[in-house]
Amino acid sequence: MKKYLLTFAVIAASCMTSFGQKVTIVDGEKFNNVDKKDAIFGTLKDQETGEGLIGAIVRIADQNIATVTDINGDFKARVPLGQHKINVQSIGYTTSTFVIDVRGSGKFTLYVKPNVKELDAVVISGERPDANVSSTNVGKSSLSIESIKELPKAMGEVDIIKSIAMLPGVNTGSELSSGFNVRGGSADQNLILLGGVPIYNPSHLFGFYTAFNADVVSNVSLYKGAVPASFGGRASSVLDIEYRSGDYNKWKAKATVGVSASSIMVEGPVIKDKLAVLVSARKSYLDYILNAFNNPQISESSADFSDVNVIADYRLNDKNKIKYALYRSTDSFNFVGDTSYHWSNFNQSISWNHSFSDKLSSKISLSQSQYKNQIKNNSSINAFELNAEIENLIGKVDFEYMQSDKLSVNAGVDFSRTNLQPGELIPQPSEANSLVTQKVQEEHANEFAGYLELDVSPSKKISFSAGLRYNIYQYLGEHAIYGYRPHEPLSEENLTDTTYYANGDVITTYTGWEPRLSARYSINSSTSFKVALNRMYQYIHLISNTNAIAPSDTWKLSDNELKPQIADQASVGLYKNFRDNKIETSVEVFYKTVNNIVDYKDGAELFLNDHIETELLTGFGKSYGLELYIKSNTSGRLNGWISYTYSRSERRIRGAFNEIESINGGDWYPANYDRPHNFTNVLVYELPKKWKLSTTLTLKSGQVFTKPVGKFNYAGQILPLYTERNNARGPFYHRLDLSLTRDFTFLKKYQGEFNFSVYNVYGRSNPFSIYYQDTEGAPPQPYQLILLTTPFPSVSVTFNFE
Amino acid sequence: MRLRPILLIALASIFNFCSQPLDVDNSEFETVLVVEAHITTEDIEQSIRVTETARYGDIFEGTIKGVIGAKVALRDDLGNNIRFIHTENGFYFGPDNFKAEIGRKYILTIEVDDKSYNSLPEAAIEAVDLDSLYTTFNKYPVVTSTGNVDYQGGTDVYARFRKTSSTASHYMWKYSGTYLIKTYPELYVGGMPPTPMPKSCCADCWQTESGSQLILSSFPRGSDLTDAELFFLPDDGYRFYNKYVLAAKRYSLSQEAYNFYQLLESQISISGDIFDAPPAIIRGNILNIDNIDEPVVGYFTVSDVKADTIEILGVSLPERSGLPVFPDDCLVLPRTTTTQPVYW
Repeated sequence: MKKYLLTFAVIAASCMTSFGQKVTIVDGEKFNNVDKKDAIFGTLKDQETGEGLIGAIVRIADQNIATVTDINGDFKARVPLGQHKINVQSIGYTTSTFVIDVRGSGKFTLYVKPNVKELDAVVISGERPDANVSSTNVGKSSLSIESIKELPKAMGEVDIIKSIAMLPGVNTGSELSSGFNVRGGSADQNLILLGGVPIYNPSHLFGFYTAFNADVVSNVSLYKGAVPASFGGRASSVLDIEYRSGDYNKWKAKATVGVSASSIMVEGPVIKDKLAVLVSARKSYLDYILNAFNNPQISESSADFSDVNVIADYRLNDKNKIKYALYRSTDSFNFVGDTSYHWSNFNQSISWNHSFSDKLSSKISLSQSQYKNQIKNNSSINAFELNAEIENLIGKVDFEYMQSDKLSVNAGVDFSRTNLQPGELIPQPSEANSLVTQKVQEEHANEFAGYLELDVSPSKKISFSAGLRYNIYQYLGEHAIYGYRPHEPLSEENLTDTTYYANGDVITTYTGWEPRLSARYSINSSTSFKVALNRMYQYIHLISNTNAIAPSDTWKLSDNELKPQIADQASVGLYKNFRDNKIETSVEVFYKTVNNIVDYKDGAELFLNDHIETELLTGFGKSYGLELYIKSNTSGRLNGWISYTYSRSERRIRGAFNEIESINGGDWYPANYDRPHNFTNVLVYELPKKWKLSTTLTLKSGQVFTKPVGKFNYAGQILPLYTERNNARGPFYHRLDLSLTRDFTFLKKYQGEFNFSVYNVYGRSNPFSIYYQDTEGAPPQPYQLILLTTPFPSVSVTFNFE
Repeated sequence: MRLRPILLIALASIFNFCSQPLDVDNSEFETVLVVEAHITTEDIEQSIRVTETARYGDIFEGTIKGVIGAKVALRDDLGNNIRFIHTENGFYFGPDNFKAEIGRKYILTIEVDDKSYNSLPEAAIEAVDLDSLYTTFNKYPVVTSTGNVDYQGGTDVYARFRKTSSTASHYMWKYSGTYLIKTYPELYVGGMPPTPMPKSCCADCWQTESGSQLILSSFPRGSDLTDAELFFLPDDGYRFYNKYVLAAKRYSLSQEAYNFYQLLESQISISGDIFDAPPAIIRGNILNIDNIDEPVVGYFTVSDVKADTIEILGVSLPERSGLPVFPDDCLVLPRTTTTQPVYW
C-alpha cells in the first residue's frame, strides 16, 4: 500500500529559504514512532564527479548526532520532522552546511564541492583535522594526492615514494635509490599496494622516477605501526595507494608535458551516472633525446619507461558497484655496453562492493600481479637473456559492519597464490655460444588468511581496535628439495639427497597468528595517548647483494630451509593539537624485532643458483626509535611540517657452525639502511598572483659502509682488508628541493598549472655508495660514487580540459 | 626552445655519475699475515710471498712490507718436508728441483715469531687440454681522457674446452704476448731548442707483455663445454701491426681455491656502481693453529699448468688502428728487444 510512498521516496525539490540557503526536502513514509523520530537515508556525492564520498563526517548539530558515510557515500540518521542543519566534513572538500526539511522517512542526496582549487590557504592533510588525536591508529600517515602534489616535484613528476619519505619513520637508502625503509625495516618488508594489488618494483629507472602516476591516485596511506588485520604478508609496513574513480558526470582530459616525460589522462562517463572510465598513460622520451647527443657516452645509452592505467567503475545500483583497474609499466635501461636491463609490472583487479544495509557492506575482489625482469646480453660470444618473474593471484572477501559510531567490525578472508621464477638463462644465437639453458626451479606457494577486527569506542575518552589474523602458508611442488648433512653448514658439499615433489604437493606448511592491537586514551579533546602491538609474517624475501633494488636481484619464497620473517612491534604515541587542530604534534616511540631476517654470506653466488639456501644466513633483527612531528595546517599562507626521527636498525647473524655462518662474529651490526638521525622540513608558501612555493629540506646521518682495517697485496693488486661488515658511516646527507607552481587559465575557460622544480638545489654531492679501490695513477683510497653532483631542474606544464 | 637549456642540464645531471676521493679516518689498523702461496707443476723456481697488511690511506704511510725471518715449508703426504728460503722482501723460494706433482697432497707451514700457521691440505688436479684457443675481433666503448666515449677495437681471446672426470673444472689464467713494433728513430728531435737529430737505430723491435689481471674460468652450470672468455687485447696500433704471438697458461684450481679467487676478483672489480658486490671478508685456508680466530689472508693452492700458443696475424683483423708515429729508437719503449725470438 505504501509502495507509492517508496517510489517517491526521494523528492529533492529545492527552494530558497528566507536566508537565501537551499533547502533539500526529504519525504517518504510518514513517521509513526512514539518519539517522533525516524530514519532518513542520505548520500553524499562529489559535486563534479558524482562519486560517493567515503568516510565523510556528517553532523546534525541540533540533534547531537554525528556519523560517517560508508563506502558508497551513504549515511543514516534518526531525526524528528522539521528543518535541520547538516554539516559535512571530508578530505579534499569544502566544509559544507546543508539545510534539510524532513517531511518523512526517505532518501536524499547532497552534493559536496571539492575544495582543492578554491582554497586560498594551503592545506596539507589527508584526513580530518583532528584525526591524529581522535583515531585509534598509531603510526598511520595519510596523504591525499592533492597534498602530495603540493610538495616539490622530483624530476618534474609528482612522486609518491619520495613524498612518503618526508614522513617520520620513513627513510630512503642511498641518493635516488629504489624503495624505502620504514622503522628500520628493509625495502622488501613493505607491502606496496596499488589499488589493493602488490607492486614489487615501485620505481622507474632505478629510483629516478616513481612508478605511480599521480593522476589516477586518490589517497595514500602508510601503516607503519598498527597495521589493520586486513593486511598481511610483509614484516614492516603497508603502503596503500588507492585508485580514484573516473568522473560519472562529464568528460575531462588532462595533459602534462615535462622535460623528460609526459602524460595524458582522460576520464568521463561512458554511461552517465552508471559507468565511468579513467585512462591515463605516461611515457618518457629520454631515448629520443639521448640519441640526439653528440657525446657517444650519452647517445649510445638508452633509458626509457612508460606506464598506463585503465580504471572503470560501474554502479549497478545504489547497493552494488563494480570496479576494474589495470596497470602496466615497462622500463629499459642500457648504459653504453652489451648489457641492457628491462623490467615490467602488470596488475589488474576487479572488485564488487555491495551494501547489504546501511550497516553491513562487503567487498569481493580478484586480482593479479606480475613483475618481470630481464637482463639481456647481446655480445657476439655467449649472448644470453636472463629472465625472472613473480606472479600473484589473489582473491579477497571483506565485510564491514558498522553497528554505530561506537562499534564496527571488519572481517574477511583472502587467498594468494604466488608463482615465482627466480631465474632462467636462455642462450641467444651468436657466433659462439657454449651457454646452455639454465632454469632455477620455479617456486609455488599458497597463502590463506582470515581476520577479524573490532573497532570499539566505549566512551569519548577511550577507543581501541583489536584484530587477529591467522595465516596458513604452503610451499608447494613441483619442486626438488635438497637434503643436507644434519648438524653441518648448508653447502653443496654437504648435499646428501634430493626429494622430488609433484605439482601441487605440499612441501612445507607454516601457520601463524598475527594479533593487531591498538588503543587510544583521550586526555582531552586535543590530546591523546595511544599504544599499539603488532605482529606480521612475511613469506617472500628479496635476496640482494647489490647496493640497490635492481633487476639483478632475486626473490625467494620461504621453504623448508628459509623460515618466514616474523616481526613484532610495540609502539606508543602522544598526540597533541593546538589552535583548533591547526597545529598538530606527535611523539611516537617504537621497538621492533624480526626473527629469521635474511642476509647473505660473503661472496654469495645468488645468480641462477638452485641451492641458494647455501648462500644465505638467517638471524635476528631489531630496530627502535623516536619520531617527532609538528605540522601546521593554518589558514595562513605558510604551512608545512617538521619531522625528526632517531632510529636504529641492527642485525645479529650467529651461525651454529663456524665464522662463515656468522656475520661480524655473531655480534650486532647495523643494517645497510641504518641512519640514526633523519630530519625533514616541508614548507609550502602561498605567494601572490597564484604562485606557490614549496621546499623540502632533508638532513640525515650518512649511510653505513664497510671500512677496511688495512690493505694487502695479492695477485698483483692492492686490496682492502675487511674484518667487519658495516663498521663505519659516510658523510652526513643533506638536500634542499624547491618547487614553484602557478595556476593559469587558457582558452578562457580551462585551467592549467606551470611547475618549475629543482631537486638538490645547492648541488650537494651525496654519495650513492662508498668503496675502496686501487686505481691507476692514484693511491689506494676510499671513494664515493655520486649520482647527482649538480642541481636537477625540471619544468612541467599541465593542461586541464574540463 | 626555452626548455632546451633546462633539458640539457637535466640530462647532464642524469649521466653525471662521478667518483670522488673521500676523506675517511683510517687511524684504526690491524696487522694481519698475508700469504701468497701458489705452487705449480711447472719447471720453475717455486716461490711463496709472506707479507703483512699496511694502513689503508696515504701511499707513503702504508707501505706493504715483506715478512723476513719466517720459517716457510711444505709438507707432502709422503712425509717430505720442503723448506723455502727467504731472498728479499718476503719472497721465499723452494729448492731448485722442486715442483708439485699431480695428485700429491701438500700442507704449507709458516712460523713467524712465536706463531705457527698451517694450511689445509691441497692437491694438484690435472689441467685440461684445450679444444681450441681462438680469438674474435670486437670493438668496445671506452671513455677517453676528455670524458667522451670512443670505440676501441681489438681481439677477445677465448678458450674452448671440455669437462672430463680426471681434469679440473676451475682455472686461473695468465698470458704473455710478443709482437713486432716499428718506430721512427729518423724523426727524433732533441736538445734545446728542439732540433731534428735523426737516429740510425732502431726501428724494429719485439715488445713483450704479460697480463696482470686475475682471469678465472669454469664451466657454465649444467654444461660440460665452455667457451671461456679470457681477456681482451686492444689494438693500440703496435700489437697487430705485424703479428701477435700469444702464450696462455692455465692453472688448475680446486673448487675452494676458485671460490677464494672469485671473491678476490669481485673485490678487485668494485667500482661503486649499483651492481657492485658488497665488500667481503676474505680469508683462505691458512690458520693460526693456536688461535683459529686470527684472520690470515691467502689461499695455499697447488696447480697443474698447461700452456697453448697462438699467432694472431694483423692482416686477419677486419680493421686495424694505424701505426703510431713514435719518433725515437724503439728500444726506449719498455720491454723491447731487437733480438728476434726463436719462434718468430
